[in-house]
Amino acid sequence: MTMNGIVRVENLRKHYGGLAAVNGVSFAIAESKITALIGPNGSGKTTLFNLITSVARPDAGAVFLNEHAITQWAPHRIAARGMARTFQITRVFGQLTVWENMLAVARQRRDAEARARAQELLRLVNLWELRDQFAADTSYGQQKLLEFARVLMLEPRVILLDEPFAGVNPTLAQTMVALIRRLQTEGKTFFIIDHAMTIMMSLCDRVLVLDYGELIADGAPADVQNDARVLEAYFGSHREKPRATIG
Amino acid sequence: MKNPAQLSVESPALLQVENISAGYGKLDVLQNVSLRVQRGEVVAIIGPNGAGKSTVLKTVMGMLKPSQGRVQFDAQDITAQRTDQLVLRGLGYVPQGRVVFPKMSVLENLEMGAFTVRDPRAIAARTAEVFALFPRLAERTRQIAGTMSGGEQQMLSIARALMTRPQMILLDEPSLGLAPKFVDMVFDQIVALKETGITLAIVEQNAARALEIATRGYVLELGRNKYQDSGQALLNDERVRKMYLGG
Repeated sequence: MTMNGIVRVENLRKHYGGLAAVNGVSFAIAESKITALIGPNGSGKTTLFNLITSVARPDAGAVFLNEHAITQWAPHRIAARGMARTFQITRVFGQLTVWENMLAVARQRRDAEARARAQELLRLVNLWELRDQFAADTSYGQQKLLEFARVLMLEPRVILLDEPFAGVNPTLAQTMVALIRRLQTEGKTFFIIDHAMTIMMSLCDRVLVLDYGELIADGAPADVQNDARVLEAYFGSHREKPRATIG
Repeated sequence: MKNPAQLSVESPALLQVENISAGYGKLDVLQNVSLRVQRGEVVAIIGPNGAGKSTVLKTVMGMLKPSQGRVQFDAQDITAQRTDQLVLRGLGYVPQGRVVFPKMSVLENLEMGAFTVRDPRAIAARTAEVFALFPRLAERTRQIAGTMSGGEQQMLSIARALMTRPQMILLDEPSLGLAPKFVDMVFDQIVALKETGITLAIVEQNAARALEIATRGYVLELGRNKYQDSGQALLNDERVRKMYLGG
């Protein structure tokens, strides 16, 4: 499939030893849409995010942001161009407070606007009361929420989220979903890895499915959920549908 | 919601946590938390991020010393005992995040779990029992743990905790970050464990799934006991659904 998109990858490949983690993947994601990247554990999802954001170098292939080749750019340069991400294994600054974590990424730390934004975001993810605690002293779930809030400080146009809902209380996950939707209406583009299928299938406009480093399905949530290969590789054949009550 | 007195049972609890306060550095995460687990029960501990769920397990396992309160296991006071001594007493622990020895084989990981067992015949017998419970692991005894899927690693982590024949195991977010197919597999496995008569306490953010298989559940909030009832009653409680299960 060739098409333009705000992010486009062309024939990306990455091997670790004998393992083809990402094996010739091409796609483009559309601006102002929410695109899901799902697949079994170990299927190459995080590696693909790493290649797109230059956290890892591809063996072959290219990455484009707004049709500018950004392959192997320094990660901070990509962030400055408007694409930012979170990590599955949280990377907060443990010896800084929650508040300092937020301001550490603001371009103008003393800027009243940045501080107001930090406050609004922390309140939204229930971390405002914890703003003076060291990030290292917060729970795993809270560190995920801090990363989510912090990435939004950058006001990126394209936001890659690696398992934002894992370990997050389902009710709070609904708050995050509402914020993602609001940002989408403001024109932001989201590319999200997560296994919380009930949330993902209602939130995302389109779903890409990876298995063994290859794209095995690409389509609307309803179509992908009924795709035989996806059922086998990912949902398991005996309980194919996401359950209503699970976040 | 029933009050705690109505739920009390005559037989002494296998695990009894009484009014513990504990935390990290100057920060008290738990304040006067109490819970009891009867022999043969599956008890789910749920609540928002930062409620102190993982901290309860760490305090029981002797990784944190409570500033007040006490923990009893099998009618003995075990407050702040060393973790290895608790393992010898029959408590098992499966930490958050599929912690396996990634460069060791499945079999070697299980042998590490039996570190406190001296008799090689006992280890061999126990390995066979564990393989009977986890046929997927039996098929891959020589596989290097780091190359297995996330779901298989989580199963190995549970299987390893069973190597000492514990009377009870504490599971910290066993479904975290797993693909739906493996979430089902891990919960099926937990139900199978329950049927062997082992006592379980499970901390889960996938709260609805945990309550479905639990005999009873505790809801913690801000480091305090909030609600407790049977798994079904909590699952059907409007307030619990709205506040913790995402609707």
